[in-house]
Amino acid sequence: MKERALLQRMRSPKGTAGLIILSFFTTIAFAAPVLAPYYPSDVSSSPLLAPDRDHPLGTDDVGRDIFSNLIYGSRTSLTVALVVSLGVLVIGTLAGVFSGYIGGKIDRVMMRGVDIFLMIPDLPLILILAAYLRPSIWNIIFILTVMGWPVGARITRAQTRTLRVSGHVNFARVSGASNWCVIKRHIIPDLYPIMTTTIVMQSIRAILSESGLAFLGLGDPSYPSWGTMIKYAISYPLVFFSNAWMWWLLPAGICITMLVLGFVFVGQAMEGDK
Amino acid sequence: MNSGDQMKLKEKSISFLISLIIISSMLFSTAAGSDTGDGQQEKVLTISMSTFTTLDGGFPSPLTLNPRGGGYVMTSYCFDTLVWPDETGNFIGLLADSWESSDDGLVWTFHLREGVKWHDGEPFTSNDVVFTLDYIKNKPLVTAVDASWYNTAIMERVEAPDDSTVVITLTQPYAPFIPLVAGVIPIMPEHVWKDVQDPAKYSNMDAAIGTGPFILEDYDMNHKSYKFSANEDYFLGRPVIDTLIHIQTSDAVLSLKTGEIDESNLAFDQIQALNGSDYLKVISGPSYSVYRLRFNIPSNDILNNTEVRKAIYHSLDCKDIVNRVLHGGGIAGNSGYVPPYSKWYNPNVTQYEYDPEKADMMLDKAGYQQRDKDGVRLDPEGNRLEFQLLYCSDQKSQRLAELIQIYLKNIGISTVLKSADMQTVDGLVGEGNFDLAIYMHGTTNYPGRMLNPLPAITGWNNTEFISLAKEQIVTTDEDERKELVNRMQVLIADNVPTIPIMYKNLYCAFNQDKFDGYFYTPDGIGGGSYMEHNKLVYIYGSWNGETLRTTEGGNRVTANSIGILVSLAIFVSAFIFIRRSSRRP
Repeated sequence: MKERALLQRMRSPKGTAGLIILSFFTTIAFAAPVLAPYYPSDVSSSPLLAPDRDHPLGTDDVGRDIFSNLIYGSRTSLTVALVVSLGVLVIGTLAGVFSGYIGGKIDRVMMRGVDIFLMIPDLPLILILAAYLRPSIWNIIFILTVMGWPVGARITRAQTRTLRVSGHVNFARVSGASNWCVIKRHIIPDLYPIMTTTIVMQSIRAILSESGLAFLGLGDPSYPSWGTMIKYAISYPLVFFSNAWMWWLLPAGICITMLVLGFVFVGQAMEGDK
Repeated sequence: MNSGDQMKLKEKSISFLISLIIISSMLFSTAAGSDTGDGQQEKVLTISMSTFTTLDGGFPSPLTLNPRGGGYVMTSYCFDTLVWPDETGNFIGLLADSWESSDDGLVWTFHLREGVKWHDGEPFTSNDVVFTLDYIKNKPLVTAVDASWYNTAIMERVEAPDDSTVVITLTQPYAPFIPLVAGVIPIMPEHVWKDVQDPAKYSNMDAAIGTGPFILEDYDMNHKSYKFSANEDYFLGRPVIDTLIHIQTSDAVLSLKTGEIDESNLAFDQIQALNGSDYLKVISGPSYSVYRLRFNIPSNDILNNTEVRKAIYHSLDCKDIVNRVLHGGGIAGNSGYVPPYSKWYNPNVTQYEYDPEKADMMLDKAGYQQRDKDGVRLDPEGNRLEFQLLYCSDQKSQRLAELIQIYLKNIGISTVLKSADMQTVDGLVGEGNFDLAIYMHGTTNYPGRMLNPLPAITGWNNTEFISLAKEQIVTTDEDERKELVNRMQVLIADNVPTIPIMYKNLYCAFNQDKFDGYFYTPDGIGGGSYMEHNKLVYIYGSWNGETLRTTEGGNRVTANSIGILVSLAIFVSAFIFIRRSSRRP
């Protein structure tokens, strides 16, 4: 019933557009080795070339093919989005359901813990942690997950509290169903809409944070990232005094915007926005 | 009806009057603001050291300056040395009028300039020189680069037979005494410093009292900015500018183009971006700045092996790296450490051409022939050959690090990149807490400061090198000295204590319509660094009054147009307000 409604909602123009954008980037990410003419770390070409047949978007200041980096960059962004949103989903849902279902003192203690996490300003802490830890993609994923799960937990817990005292759950419990069975059969399925929203919102947050950190020079230098590309493009003094910004700066910016837009469309369609 | 029309007319005329007053006051105030006194413009020169943006120069006193952040330049504005290099690199007398040395090079007599006054009006005497040279002993400026700025160890005795003569007796003949000692140590006022408890932390305003052409007005540690005013009584003549401001800018090219700053040192890429601005004059020259790969020789057993370091050298294509990182703004490194444009350069040293096969072979021979599934070499115990590569977080160093990572991966050495700001890198390297590090720093054209500190800045201990270093510094015969310096370079090339990857050129641009006269000091100031920031520029340079007036006029027009816009906005809102209030019953 719920799934069907969701599918219907995705059929709206916004939903369709969002799904098309997302599948486009996913395809690119999977087919990167086929599509990209060069390996992303390949520096065999001359630096600062304008676009030509060999380099559809030219080369950057050390001689990397910008087009190939752009394509491989989608892998980085999508991986971070996927892992972070799944991580937040799993941890957040487990914590939320557990806390909401048990209730009582444990719930209160856990929610105060979540409150502390929510109170800490997100970005400064991410910046400090990213600067302190080694700049690696897994550290970024770890930081974003750690900072993201309390939001998921909060929403899930609220929904669990409502569901716990609702008729069908009470009935199931009175009929002798175990706690685990109740959670699995009656609570989790009712949380699906919240969970999908969590995935979408966390993906957007992860993509933007990853690009932002990379832009600030806190990204993983061994993975091509759109944020890193923008950083290097902007710090090249000639980028705005020549046409280089058109093939170096703009495509990376467009990619970030489009991917985020795809997620936003999907999210809005899920909420019934046409 | 009739009275209402009259009312409206009255309102209109009132608002028109108000707007007229506003506009005229705007015009008047901006015009008054850009002039000081009766048409006499204050000559303010704003400059930026954009290549040092990550660092603060420190308080400009001889003991608190930061030698890595252009701090010596700031100190040299306030303080004078006995002698100073001019445009040709020859030394002219500042505080000293003339000087001579004994035949054995041990006794130096300086005849001081008469009538020199400190900024606070006290007379300068030979006692201040004696005080400074004694005082500054055992108070070296220690940095991770170990530039050994104030070389006081070679001075045995400093005496003042009378108020205008100083006699310095050395412990041994010292060939570069004039450029590295007399031309570097800033003379400090005895009456200020004699009672100071903790001179390394003393930064009251009187700590910047010197005899120099500029007087410190303000130093802002947080903004890393300095403001100096001209010393009216400077003995070489009053500086041609009234105020000198050093600020930090985020984009030096844009700041130069908009006129926010008048001079800045730039990277080669930025020079390209100046294209089309004819009023900006560019000067360039070799800067003796080296980007090098530093090894932790004392603590890392693998990098301690000379064969491994040689293999790493063979694996790097320095010419390609220069091309990709500096885009033509520098030249590839030389295995003998001395840049080819130096007169001390020795071309007959071991060269390490780019040859990854040879590098592979050398590593195989050194016992790292085993590889894991990623192609990374393993040591005999089975540990991966993986090093941390530390670098400063500026763009050039980061690009350099990425390229080195790729080159080293080719020969089966894995690197983990770690970036930090310059102070942190200096700190970590100073503690020996690193494997590989990319280091950028200035060297000089004086072997005593270019090559002698090498054991200290590489961790490489070679008794032969150290004895040669000691010998060359006391040798006064040029040919003999050249021979010793050549042998030092052979030793460096044979042992690879560090890999000089490239030498960066120096570029700076300035607004010649406003102020002209910057020059490249051939061997640099302060014993060989900061080639373009010679304080003599501000005394012998020229301030172009005529072109200044036109540029000022241009500024005034923009200021006035803003004023007109603002007054228009006020006028419109006043008009609306009046109309609204008149509509009320």
